[in-house]
Amino acid sequence: MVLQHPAPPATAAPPTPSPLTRRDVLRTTLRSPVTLRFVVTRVLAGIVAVWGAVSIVFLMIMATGNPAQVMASEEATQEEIDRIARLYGFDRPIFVQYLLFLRNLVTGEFPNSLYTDEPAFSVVLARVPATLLLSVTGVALGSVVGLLVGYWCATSRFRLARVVPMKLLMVLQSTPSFLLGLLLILFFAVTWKLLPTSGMGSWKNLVMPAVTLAAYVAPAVARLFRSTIREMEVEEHVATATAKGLRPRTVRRRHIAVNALGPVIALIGMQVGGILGGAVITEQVFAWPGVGQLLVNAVNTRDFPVALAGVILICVGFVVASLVVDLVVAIINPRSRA
Amino acid sequence: MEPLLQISGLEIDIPTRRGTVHAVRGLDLDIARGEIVGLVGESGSGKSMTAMAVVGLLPPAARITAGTISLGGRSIIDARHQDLQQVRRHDVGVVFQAPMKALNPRMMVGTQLREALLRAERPNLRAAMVRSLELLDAVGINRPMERLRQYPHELSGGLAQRVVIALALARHPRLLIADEPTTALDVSVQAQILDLLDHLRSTLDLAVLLVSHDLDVIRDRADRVNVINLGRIVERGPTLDVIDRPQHEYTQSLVAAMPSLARRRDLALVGLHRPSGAAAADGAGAGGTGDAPVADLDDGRPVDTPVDQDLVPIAEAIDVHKAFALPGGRLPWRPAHRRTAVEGVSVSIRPGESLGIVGESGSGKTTLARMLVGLAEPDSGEIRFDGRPVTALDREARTTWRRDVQFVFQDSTSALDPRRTVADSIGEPMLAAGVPATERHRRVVELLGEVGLAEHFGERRPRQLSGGQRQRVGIARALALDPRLIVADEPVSALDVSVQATVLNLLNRLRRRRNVAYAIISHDLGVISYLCTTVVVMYQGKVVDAGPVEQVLTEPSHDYTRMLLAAVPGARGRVAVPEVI
Amino acid sequence: MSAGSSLKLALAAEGGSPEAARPGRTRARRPWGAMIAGAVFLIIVLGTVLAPLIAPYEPNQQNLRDMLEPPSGTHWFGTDVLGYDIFTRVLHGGGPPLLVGVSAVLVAMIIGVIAGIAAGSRGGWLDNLLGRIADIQMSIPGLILALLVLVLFGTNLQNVIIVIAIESWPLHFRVVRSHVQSVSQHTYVEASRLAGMGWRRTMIRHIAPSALPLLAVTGTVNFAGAVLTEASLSYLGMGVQPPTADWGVMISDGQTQLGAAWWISVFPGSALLALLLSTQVIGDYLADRFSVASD
Repeated sequence: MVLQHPAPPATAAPPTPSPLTRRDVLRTTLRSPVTLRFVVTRVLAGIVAVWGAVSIVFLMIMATGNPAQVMASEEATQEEIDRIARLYGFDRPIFVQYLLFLRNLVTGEFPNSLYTDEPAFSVVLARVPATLLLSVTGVALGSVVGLLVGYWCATSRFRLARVVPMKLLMVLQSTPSFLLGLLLILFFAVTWKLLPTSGMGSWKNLVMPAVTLAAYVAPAVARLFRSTIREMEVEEHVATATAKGLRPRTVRRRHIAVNALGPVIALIGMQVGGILGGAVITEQVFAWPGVGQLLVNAVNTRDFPVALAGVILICVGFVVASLVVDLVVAIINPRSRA
Repeated sequence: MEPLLQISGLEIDIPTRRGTVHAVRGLDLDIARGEIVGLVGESGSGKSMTAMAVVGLLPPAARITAGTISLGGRSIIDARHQDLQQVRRHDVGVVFQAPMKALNPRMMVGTQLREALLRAERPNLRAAMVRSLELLDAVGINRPMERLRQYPHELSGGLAQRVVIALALARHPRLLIADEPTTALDVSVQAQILDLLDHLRSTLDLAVLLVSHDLDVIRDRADRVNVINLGRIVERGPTLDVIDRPQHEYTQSLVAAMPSLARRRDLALVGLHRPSGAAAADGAGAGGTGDAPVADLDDGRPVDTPVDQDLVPIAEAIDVHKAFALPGGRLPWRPAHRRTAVEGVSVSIRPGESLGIVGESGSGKTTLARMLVGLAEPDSGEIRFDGRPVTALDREARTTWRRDVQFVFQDSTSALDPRRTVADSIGEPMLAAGVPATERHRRVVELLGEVGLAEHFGERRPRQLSGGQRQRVGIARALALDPRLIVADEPVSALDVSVQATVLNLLNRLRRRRNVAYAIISHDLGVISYLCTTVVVMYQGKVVDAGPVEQVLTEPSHDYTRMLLAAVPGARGRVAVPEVI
Repeated sequence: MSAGSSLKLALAAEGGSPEAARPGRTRARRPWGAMIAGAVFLIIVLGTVLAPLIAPYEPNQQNLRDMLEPPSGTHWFGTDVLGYDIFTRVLHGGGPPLLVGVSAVLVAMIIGVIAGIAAGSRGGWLDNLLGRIADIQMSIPGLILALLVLVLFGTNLQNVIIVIAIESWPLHFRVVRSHVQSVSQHTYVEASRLAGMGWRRTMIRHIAPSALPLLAVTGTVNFAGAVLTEASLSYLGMGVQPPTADWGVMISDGQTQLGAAWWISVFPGSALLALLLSTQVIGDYLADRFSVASD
């Protein structure tokens, strides 16, 4: 038998005599996730961060004592070095040098690569798509796996199912990217010959690098998601949601899991730096032709213009990624939108 | 009349590492439609546990070991069926204690309301919205359209509690469980929310279980009352009978311990001891054993010698202003908002005086207190000590000021370093003043005795103490350097009624014995009228009313004071409380 | 965001236990995992320190007749292309990572703690400035910063230590700063001020004791990170230079021979993994334990 629900009280007359327009409905259901102030603040902070990073790079070049020599190739004659020094103003006062450095960055007038003689920034930019493909796939894969495992371990009713995946992830978390990469190559490429060892081409080439990168992301995500879910479970608004009569599964998903996403996304944001570092290593292990591999080669061959351009571009990428993460966090956590 | 909710023989156990806690032991209770039934008790009495058992929201560790709960004649929960069957949740709405925490911070009010509706009532967004607006209107929320798109943190406490009530009503419940629904709210808002519950009860023919620690709230609102202690109902009956003529000794002592406007101020409060081993350690000397309530009797009455107005005030605030910066406007470089906390307030405390500073949250009373002791500096105006501005004090005079004016904090948990022993905390001011160790030890023992704690308490850490004991330690620390003025910020608001009584008694006794002046900050007019000789009423950063306690509380000169007095529970037959949303 | 959750995030981002801030969890069982991890850690440290005494061969002793030998009784872990004994080099190869780990963490901690206390207790412009510097510095990914510094100033162990220390001070800074701030919110700190205690004495009495456990946690987390960075740099050819024995270099050396001689990479890799894993388990245990005590 199902209890009869009493009819809505007759006394409560509909409060709005005018019918609701479509606009009313939309206006009350949708609301801009971020305020203008929030976006402006974050973009400004991002610009400051890029400026700071560039300045640090400048300071380090200066700290070597002879910036013109750094920018020239090792076999460069004194005349060539002097030419570079004049071109970039390294013979001027340091403040002027700094302004010239910033101007050259903005206009893209950076020294050419010492080897290919192409503009350094275009050399680096040509590698960006490969790195983007790898990092986006890796982070997406790692986040999805991490979230699923975290959710599973937080809510499973079986002790073993809660504990074992976490322990496995802990081992994974401690495994350096290059070691994991080598093991993958040893088994999947060398022993079983399922996947190609290196390079870029078909989707098969992407599998091992993406998994390696994902293995860096997934453990932290899973562990944080699990512990946040378990903290959220005891919050009072969850009791309200249960008392409202929602099904336990709905409560778990809409009121616990989604709320627990905020810290996890913030974590991914804080890890962007580590992820980019991991990408550098991963690209090296699998000879993936991205910015990271270029950077390592440039560093090893002392091709400074390219190395500097790469570093600066990675910093910009880092700042942009952090900005995106901030915006996503704001969507999930209205209180952080101030 | 057939009761709607019937609880019989309910027993709830919570297994812990140190053995099983019997939270509820054989409890019977029933409620009929259209009736408000009060469940009153102190913290740990099992009142919330009982309420949550009805809606299947017990903490995971708790088990129902015996008894049944039935709704509309059908058993819904017993020892074999721990959880409420889903369909029954539609018949019960729940109102929680802290409205801000009870709403999901991530979702707009409209979304949360929509979720709560029955499926049949939300075939599409528009229908859901119509129904949501209806609900918000029913709980007296103005501008409901705007509220739908607001997030919980954008609402005031009172509004948030109305939203929670709207959620509870969404599925046409027949029973409403209100667990301390107004404890987190200001007095005036409390009255409005209670009025709303009353109104809903009569218009919707709801049965309401009103759980509270506050006898006055229950006295005003409940038709019948159940007094719960240690998991058992010790007394029940029509409200006025029980509270005005209590039969059971627990109820008697509970009633006697309430500082209340209804009671004359010169009645000494009677502290009571809870008749359980662990909880009984709260009183003086931690002696109370057995079931009999041991009266922590005051041997005298608060003295009311008129304060000599010619004396130089110990502390004085003259036309002080204080504002705080808040995050600013639409763009980051726009100047920040400033919220005025205190606006042109002047107060003074003379030797022998006990000044009450009363007001609701946001009235600026705590900021004023912090300025008086030097924890905050006024933006303009000045604080004086012994007639001299504190900014002009030389090093030596500053030390005297620090020594003579002491502070007692509201939250005794936060006021004591968890890593340090009680003796260490009490001795800290003496250590700073350079008192030698042996002398310090002697004084600490003395102070412990003075606040009614045995000497061995000195070795304990704060977490081994109860709330009342911690507050005593805080008071002992304030007394360590023989101050002439003690400023106390809500000294008893975090404590249970019975413990509250012992601390209030202690404060009164100390004032008489040591001739120390007080500035007591409180939202509770009962506390003020018990402890203070003069009072200032603060509202939105300004003093709106001031004078001797009797005068202000009996013939208030300002509308706000009248409203405050009318809103205090226990003052039934009052003037209508103006709606302020 | 509350202080607790930012600490949790900072630790989680650095690979520490995200459960750190979870209050009220009591553990009654013996921490077997942490004890085993401690033993493993100790064995690695002892093996490295005593390597000259216990290693069967010289680390740089070429033996071209025995090159690419698989593991056997004479060469437990096999030999590499130049006939180096892998077991010997695994023992010696722990030196650089451990040295870098310990020194970099010490330097980073000193910078981070001083800056954190200053920012947390003074607030205002100093807090803003230090926080900004930490933010900007974090916007250069650690490994990238290291590559840049090493290529500009030369690849030697000292530079590796400095660059890792610079890269990781913000971890300690943030944790200490938010700890000082959250403790300062407790009114017992105000009470201490009202009691007439000076700023420094309040710090020593009330704030420092509760910060030490946190530093044990950040130190452990930082140590694991430093070892990993050192190994990564060596793997990329930017850290320790051959022929000095080092795990990262050995793993890189073996990569080309992976099909023919897996042992060249796998044994030093396992040693590195054992060190990192045991450090992490110890760090998690410390975080778990002290969060209970500090609440």
